[in-house]
Amino acid sequence: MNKLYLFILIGLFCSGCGKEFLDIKREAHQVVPKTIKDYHAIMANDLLLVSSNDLAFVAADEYTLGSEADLIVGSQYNPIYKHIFKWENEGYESDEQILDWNFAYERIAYANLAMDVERVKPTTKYEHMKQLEVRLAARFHRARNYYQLAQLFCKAYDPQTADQEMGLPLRLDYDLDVSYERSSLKQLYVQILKDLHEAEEIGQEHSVDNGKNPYFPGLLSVEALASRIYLQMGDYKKAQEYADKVLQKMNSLIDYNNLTGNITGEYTSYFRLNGAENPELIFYTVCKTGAIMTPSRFRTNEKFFQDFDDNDLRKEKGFYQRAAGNTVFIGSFAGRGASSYFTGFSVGEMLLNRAECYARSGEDVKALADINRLRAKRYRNYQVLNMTDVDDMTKLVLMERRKELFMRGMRWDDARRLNREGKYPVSFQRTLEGKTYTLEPNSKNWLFPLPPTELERGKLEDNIR
Amino acid sequence: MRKLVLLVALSLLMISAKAQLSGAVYSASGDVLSGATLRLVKSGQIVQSGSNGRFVFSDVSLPDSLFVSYVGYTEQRLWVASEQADLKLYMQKDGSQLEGVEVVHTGFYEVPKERATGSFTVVNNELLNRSTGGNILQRLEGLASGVQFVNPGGTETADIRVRGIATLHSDATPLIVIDNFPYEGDISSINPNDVESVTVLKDAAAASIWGARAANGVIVITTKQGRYNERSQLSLSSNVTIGQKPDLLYSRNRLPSSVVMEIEKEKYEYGALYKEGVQQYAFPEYVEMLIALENGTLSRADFDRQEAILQQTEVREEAMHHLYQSSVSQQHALSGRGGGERYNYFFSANYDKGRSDIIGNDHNRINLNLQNTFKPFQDMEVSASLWYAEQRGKNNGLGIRDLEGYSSYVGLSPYTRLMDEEGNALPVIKDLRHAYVQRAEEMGLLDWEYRPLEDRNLVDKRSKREELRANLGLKYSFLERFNFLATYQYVKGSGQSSVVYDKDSYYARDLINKFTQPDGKMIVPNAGIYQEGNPNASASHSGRAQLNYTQSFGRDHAIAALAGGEIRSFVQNTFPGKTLYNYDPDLLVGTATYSYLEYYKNHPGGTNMRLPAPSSTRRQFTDRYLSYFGNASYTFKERYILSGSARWDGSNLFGVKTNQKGTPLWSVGGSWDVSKEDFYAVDWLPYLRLRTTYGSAGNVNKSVSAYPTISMSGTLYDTDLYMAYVRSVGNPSLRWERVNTLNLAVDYKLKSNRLAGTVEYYAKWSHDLIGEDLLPPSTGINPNSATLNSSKINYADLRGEGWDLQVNSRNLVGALGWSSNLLLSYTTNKVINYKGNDAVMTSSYLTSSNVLPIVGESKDIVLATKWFGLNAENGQPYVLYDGEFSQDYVAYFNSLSVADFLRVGVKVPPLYGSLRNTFSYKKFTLDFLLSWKSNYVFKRTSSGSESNGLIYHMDFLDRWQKSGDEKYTYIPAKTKTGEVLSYSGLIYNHSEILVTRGDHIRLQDINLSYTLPRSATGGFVEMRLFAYARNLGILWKANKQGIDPDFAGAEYRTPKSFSIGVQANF
Repeated sequence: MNKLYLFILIGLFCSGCGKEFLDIKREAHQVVPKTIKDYHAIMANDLLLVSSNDLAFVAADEYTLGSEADLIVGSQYNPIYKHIFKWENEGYESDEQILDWNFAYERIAYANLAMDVERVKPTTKYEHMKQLEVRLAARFHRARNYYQLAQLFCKAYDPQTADQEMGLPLRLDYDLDVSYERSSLKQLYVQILKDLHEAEEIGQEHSVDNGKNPYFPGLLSVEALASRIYLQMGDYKKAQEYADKVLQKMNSLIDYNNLTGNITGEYTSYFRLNGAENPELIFYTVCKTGAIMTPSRFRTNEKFFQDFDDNDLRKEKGFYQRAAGNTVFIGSFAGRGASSYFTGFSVGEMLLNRAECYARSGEDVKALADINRLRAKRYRNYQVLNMTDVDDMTKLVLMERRKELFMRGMRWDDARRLNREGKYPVSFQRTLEGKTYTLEPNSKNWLFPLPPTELERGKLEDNIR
Repeated sequence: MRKLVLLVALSLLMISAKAQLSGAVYSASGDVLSGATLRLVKSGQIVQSGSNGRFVFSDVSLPDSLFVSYVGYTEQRLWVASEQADLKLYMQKDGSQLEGVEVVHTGFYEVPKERATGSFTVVNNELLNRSTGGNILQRLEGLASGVQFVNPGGTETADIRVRGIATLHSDATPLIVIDNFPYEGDISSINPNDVESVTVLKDAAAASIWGARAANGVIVITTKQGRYNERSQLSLSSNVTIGQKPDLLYSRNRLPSSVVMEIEKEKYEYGALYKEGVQQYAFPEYVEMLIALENGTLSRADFDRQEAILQQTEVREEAMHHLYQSSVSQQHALSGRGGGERYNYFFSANYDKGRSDIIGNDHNRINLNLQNTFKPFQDMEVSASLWYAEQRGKNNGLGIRDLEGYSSYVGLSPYTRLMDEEGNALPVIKDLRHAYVQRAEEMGLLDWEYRPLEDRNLVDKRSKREELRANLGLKYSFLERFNFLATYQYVKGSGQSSVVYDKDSYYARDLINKFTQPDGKMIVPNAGIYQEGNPNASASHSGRAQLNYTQSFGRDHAIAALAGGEIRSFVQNTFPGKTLYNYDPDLLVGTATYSYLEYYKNHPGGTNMRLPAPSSTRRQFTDRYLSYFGNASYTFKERYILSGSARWDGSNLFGVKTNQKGTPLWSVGGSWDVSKEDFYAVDWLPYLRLRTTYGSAGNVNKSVSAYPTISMSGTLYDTDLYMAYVRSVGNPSLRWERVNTLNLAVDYKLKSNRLAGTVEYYAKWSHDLIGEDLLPPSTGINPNSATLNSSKINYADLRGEGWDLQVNSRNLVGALGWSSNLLLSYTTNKVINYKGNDAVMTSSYLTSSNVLPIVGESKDIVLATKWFGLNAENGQPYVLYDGEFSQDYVAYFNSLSVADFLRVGVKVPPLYGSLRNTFSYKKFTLDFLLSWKSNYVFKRTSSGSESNGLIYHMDFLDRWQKSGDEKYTYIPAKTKTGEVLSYSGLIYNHSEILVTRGDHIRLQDINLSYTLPRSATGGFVEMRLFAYARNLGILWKANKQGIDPDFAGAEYRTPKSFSIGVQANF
């Protein structure tokens, strides 16, 4: 019987060596990512710096159009625009591709693939550092993209009902063969926060800040994202905590009084291309919006425009009146005028997040201090606001937020969370060719239907609208 | 037999009462026969011989009559008078030899067919030797049930289907196993003379033991081995095969020269169709004559004289005369074997040589083989074997298609002549205008004519393949019931090809001329050119450890089990090619230092071109497999058998997840020998057994990667961060395709084996087939993405089912023997789940030889357009567009979707079979094989054309020519010169009217042999002389057009061949 043991031993030996034995690629000429450098390069792709909230821009009330004709022509390649613009309860055309969905999931696939960096054993301290950067980045990008998809295709987060609401297909792996149901909204947010906290841990333990490079996420970017997400979830304490963490490390603001530039058209800007050398920039992303919002059609919401004080330089330096008469927004940090909009994280947003959290917890003095700090850099000859000037601190912060974060894709997200909360409801309204369209705070249309190709091929349940 | 008589005589001399009787049972050739039944008549005691052939009757009263029976062998009866301790019983095979060798070799174990639950086809040595030919697979045609030759006369695995198909886009070839290991080399390097038997594993129980690559069936080739206790034996065999010269006039893709000349004249007179360009593309010879006549450079008289010659010329006759020949091949083999108690050996040397039916092509093959097996201890066996094969070929021949000129204008001119009356090689029109070529020497260039008959001798194309195969084996038996087997195999193969172009060859002159500069400088030196194709090399290492266990408990229970692991690595390399210019074939020197980057002015036209560079392809592929397997069978009362097998496969072809999960492939099976039951009393049917198996086997797809791939691309904005695009996320779930097979079978035998056979039904469910999928965009793969594009995954389903029927009958027994073997198979398949690719053009469903799968239809479906007849006005086809007869082909065709095409049938015959009749009279045996195929269709070629193309077809002669013809013909009128009718040719050439039934019966071969028994030569030699004829032609066919469906569009049919040979055993 001793011999039997020998064979068992041989068997065990064979099974032990199996994994490595099978771990060789078949075709030698394929580039299979296998080094930390490879994975780092995947996470440095500029595809990841695009944000998926085109639909949020289209649906937001920050702009309007001049005519039905503009609406029809602007919706030629994206038929859903014409329905979203009027907040109508209409779906997509049969094979319509929804770029927000497609690209967000493509970025998630990049992130899922980059998670494999953990399989590589770093040999030098430098490699170890690079590996941490990739691990952080993969989690950050996955969390960011799922968060963004949630703002478009799921209901606003409500802790009371989150486990009954529909989430998204939660792909955490690049395996094509596995099919996913829609998770619950709670599962989705749990996953987003899990990624965030893991990324935070990686960032904290190893102080990965990536030299404040706004194109590759570090701890700062993670904290800024956390602040935005907790605010959306209504967790003001956490939102304030994370905004505070960022501001302790980074708090410089551009003084709009010093902005100089040669504005000659709707594609010129006071800011440098891709947010270069912008001291306010924590993490850079940009949204390339669809044809419906090209400068020739875009008309800034007149009421919003008028709400800016005349001393507010964001009005003077952020807008451009075209020869055709319409006013377009050129104040984006993306530096391309009215062609693409910055959607990343800035010091300004962090100040506003913190201010709102202070206001909501009754610390109006602290809130006002943050508002004053921001305004000081945005106004000409700024007169500091006093507590006596303020009626409702939260309302003030929200108004400031609408101005500072104009055309950042935040209007849609903010309206959703405010309506869910109910204290400061927001309704959207537009008039086109004499007809008024409204999106009421309690409407079911504060989210979009899932893309038809996804529903059909992934066999998913659609949103109820 | 004589031994037996002797034994009986000996035993008669001794008398004893209570005694022990023991011994062993062997076949006439000395093989141990286990499982033979021995019965003492008086006492009624029954025992079976064990695995070493031994049997023991412990308590017998002698004398008694001993009956010995073993399936497939003639029952023996002998009188045993006294106690025997070492009785050797030699059994003769059944006179009919219907069953052949009964042992099934699966590559993992051997089992008598009678005790196997799975579906096997065994082709024994005798049957393999029936035909000649250097390829082992070819010899299976018509002899192996369930094995279909999709390409008749096929010599490669791709030509074969075992029980239909089980995949859509992956490898559909059966797995070849040689001496217990998968074989990935060149099957043509195996010499059939070295093969003992071939076993085809057809169902899940049979194939699942081979795991992830067995879904297409497994063909197990077992080579000849030495045996213990066998006297030394030398065998010599030799045969010669002569094939007829091919008949090129069989082709229907031709028109008489005079007709083609008329067409060319019409085109010439129309003008604008033969435009002289700077590229000097070749015009047909007749057109050149017309031009010369018009220019006045050719006199009317000369023109008429030459025209008359051309009209009388048929290029196919020219080619048959000058390019083709009778093929001749010879095979010679010498082998020896023998063995002592602790040692046996086998060796062989084979030499095959042949010339093909094209003059200038020949090939030869040498095989050497040596096997030794030792028993250093009683329990241990060590074996070492070595095979070496070398194949060489010379491929300088020119076929009919090599006579084609520049494809847009010339094609195959039917009036091309190869030799003039004086026997000089004539130039033919090739790439450039003849008028230009004739001026070459004036322009300071070399002679630029192409003379095929001369050129054949100025080119030396050779190929060579070598293969070395080594096996090492260790077998250790212990604890009586166990034995441990460790085997290792190494296969190394390499192939290379080279061409030497003489400096006077057309290739060299053409290249030299092209690259001669305006100042007369020759970039390519006026010398020979040596080229070497991409050499390739492959090596595989395989190892296997296996533990076998067999035990019987009393008379009623028997268990056999095995378990083990296997590891394989297969590496293929392709290396860059080489080119030497300025090559001297005598000194073997040349230069390789040429600039392949520089552009040179070219003749004609002065375009800038680079020198043709040798291939720079360098590839390496590594396939690795790791498997664990187990197999067990339990026999109860010799009539109930339960069997099962399981196997786990990992491979670097699969994704990580599959390798981690390790879902096994498995099978279960059972059989019931009804005729052994006590209640069974059907006298006329003494043997009846039911078998069934169910299980799964796998298939792999090497074109899909389990691994993600990326491409690097610059840096991100103005940072120094490198960016990478993900090209494919790979597929970590990539796994084998899985085929579940159900097999139901009945084996039966009528009294005295008059009629015996098997009926089998099978159903196959292929799951997880690789297909291009439309993925949900949440996978990250979407049509807007520029980067991610992997969408081939395991999802498609295919269903197949069919019948295999086998009947062996002994019609006459006696001095004149007559037996028949009938094989009949029916197999169908249906695509169950497939998501088509929207981007594929509908026309490809008509034209493609490999139509994309259509759900609900067979993978082999043939689609056709509907036929509406010819228009009486212009003789062009009608179409029905918008409810009206129309000739707007473009609008009509664009309105069609795949659903509008007619499903006219399948291209692979679902019903096929063969009938072999064997007559024997004294020492003569005559057998012949008929084969048939039915229930399938093909589209015959015809002469439809959309424009003034070069499609010449016999149907042209019967075309529509005037109003009223449409009543008698469906062949469209000739397109008016200069007119283009887009899609009309496509619609006609793929219309239902050209769909032809392929059903036919063929006389495949005849074999006549004469056996000279050993006794006739005083024990010195046993000899077999034979004559064999193959490809004898069609006996009946469904089509009336004279088309051989196996060669529907071919230039010629495989010619008849005749062989004679001798085989002698000393």
